Amino acid sequence: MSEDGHASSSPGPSQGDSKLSIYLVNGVGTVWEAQTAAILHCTYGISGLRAGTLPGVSQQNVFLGLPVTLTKEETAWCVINGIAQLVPLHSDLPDPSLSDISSNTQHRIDRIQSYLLRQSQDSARKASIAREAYEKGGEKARLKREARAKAKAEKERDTNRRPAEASSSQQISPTDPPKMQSHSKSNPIYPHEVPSHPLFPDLTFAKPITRLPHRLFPFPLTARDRALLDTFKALHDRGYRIGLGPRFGGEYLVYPGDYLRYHAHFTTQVLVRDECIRPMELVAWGRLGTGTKKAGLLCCWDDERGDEEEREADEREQRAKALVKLEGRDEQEEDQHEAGPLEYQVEFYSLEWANFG
Amino acid sequence: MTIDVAPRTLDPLARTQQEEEIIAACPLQAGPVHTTLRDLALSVEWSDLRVLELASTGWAIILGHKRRHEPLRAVLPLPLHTTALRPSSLRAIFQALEALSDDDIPHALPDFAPSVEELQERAQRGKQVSQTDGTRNVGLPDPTDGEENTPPAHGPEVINKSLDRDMIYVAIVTTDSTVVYYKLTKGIKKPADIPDE
Repeated sequence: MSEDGHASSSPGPSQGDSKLSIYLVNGVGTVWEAQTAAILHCTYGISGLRAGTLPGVSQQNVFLGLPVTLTKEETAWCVINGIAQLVPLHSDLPDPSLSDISSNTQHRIDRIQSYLLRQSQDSARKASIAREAYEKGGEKARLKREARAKAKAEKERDTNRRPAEASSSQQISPTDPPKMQSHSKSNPIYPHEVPSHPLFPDLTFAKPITRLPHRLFPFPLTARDRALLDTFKALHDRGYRIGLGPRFGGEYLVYPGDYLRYHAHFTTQVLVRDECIRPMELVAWGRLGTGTKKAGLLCCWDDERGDEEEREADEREQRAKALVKLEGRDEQEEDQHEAGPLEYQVEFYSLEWANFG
Repeated sequence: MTIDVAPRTLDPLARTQQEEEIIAACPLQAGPVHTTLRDLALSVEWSDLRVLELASTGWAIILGHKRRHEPLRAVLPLPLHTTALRPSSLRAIFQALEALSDDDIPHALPDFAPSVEELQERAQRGKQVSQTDGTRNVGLPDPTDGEENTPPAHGPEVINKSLDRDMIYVAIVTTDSTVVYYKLTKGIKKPADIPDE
C-alpha cells in the first residue's frame, strides 16, 4: 500500500481558514474548545484523552474534562490530513490578572451568546424555507394534497370496512408542513463554525503549523515514528478507533468503534522493517491478550529502506538545513519542509492462544 | 491383560524418513519438529500428521487434523530462543501456504500409538476369539454387551481434505520439551470469545 508523504497534501474537509486549532503546549497537542473536541470525536474518530481536572475537588476527577490532549499520532494525522493546524503556545504563561479574568469571562459569555443566536437564526431560517416550499405550489398544490388525502381515506375505509368519514375532516392541517430537505450548506450536525484563529493571539509566538515534521513538533522523524504513524493511519482508515495501549502492554488499543461503547479488541505490537520476532515475545503478547480478553495484533511496517539508505536521507536533510542557515533564509519557514512521498506497507497478523497444549 | 499392538504404529522415539529429510533441510527446527510431532500425535491427539518444507521459505511445517471434519491446519515449530523469525518469514510462509497444492502435500504418517477406538476394537476381537476356543481373555470392557448384531452408532467419518491457508499455529518448544501453541491469523481477526456487538 503506498500513501502520500507527510505533508498536508490533501485539502481535507476543512480548507484554509476553516481548519480546527490544536494548541501546542510543551510539544503536546491540546484541544480547549468543546465544539472542536466534539467534531474530532464524532466526525473524525479522534478522541484523545481528557485531562482537565480540579485537584482540590477529587470527586470531579471521576470524569475528567477539557482540555483534551492528543497523542503525537492523532495530532500528526489531523495536521497531515488538513483537518487542523497546530498553534504553538508559550509554555511559561503568567497567571492572569483579575481584569484579564473578567475580560476573558465576558468574551466567553459573548461568544456563547452569539453561538446561541446564530443557532436560533439558523432554525428560524430553516423553518421559513420549509414554509415557503410548502406554500410555493399555491392553489394547485393544495388541491392535489386534498385529493391525495381523500384517496388515502377511501383506501383505509375499504381496508378496515368502517364507515367513511367526511373528506373535509381528513384535510391536512396547514400547520403540519411536509418534511423538507435541509437547505443549510453547513454540516447539519454542527450548526456553527469553529473559528480558525486562536482566541488569545497574545499567547502564541509562531505561525500556525500546517506541515510536519516541525522543530516545535518533531514527529514523525525516525523510522519508528513513521511506523507508528502509518500503522495508526492504516487502522484508522479501516474504521477502527485507536486508544493508548501502554497499560495493556502495547502501543495502541484498537476499538471496533467509539471507545465509549466498545471494549478494545486488540493490543498492537508495531514491528519496524524486518526486526526479529522472538517466540518468547509471542508468548508474552499472547498471554497478555488472553488475560485481558483481547487479541494481540502484530503490525509489521516496512518502507523497504535499509538502515544505510536511512542514514543517507538524514545526512541530506542536515546538509539542507545547514544551507538554509548559511543563506540566511527564514528558518521558521524552512522548518516546514515538505517530505517527498513515501512508500510503505503495513501487514497485520492476529495472535491468540491456541486453546490447547 | 495383553493387548496386541499391531506393528503398523511407529516407534515414538525413532525418526521417520519424512522427518529425516526435513531436518536435513531445516536444521534450526530439528528438535522442535521432533517434539511437536509427537506432542500433537500423543498428547493433543491430532490425526493425519505429516511434515513438509514450504518451498522457497526455508521453514518446515507440520500439517494435520485437529478434528477430522475440520480443514488441515499448519503448525510452525519454533525453538524458544530463536531470532530467525521475522515479518518477511511470516509473509513467505503465508504466501507458500497459499500456493501449496494438493500434490505437494505428502501422505500422512502412520500413528505413533493406536487410538482408544482401535484398542477397543482389538479387545473385542480378542474376546470373540477367546469365547470361541473357551479361554478367558481379560480385556477392555465390551461396549456392545447385550447389543448383539447392532450397527455402529456413527457412520463412516468424513475427512475434510481442504487446507486452512489463512491461519497457522506456532508451536514454541522450550528446553524442557514443553510445547506452547499460539494461533497466528493473517489479517485483523477479532478474538473468538468476544461476541459481535
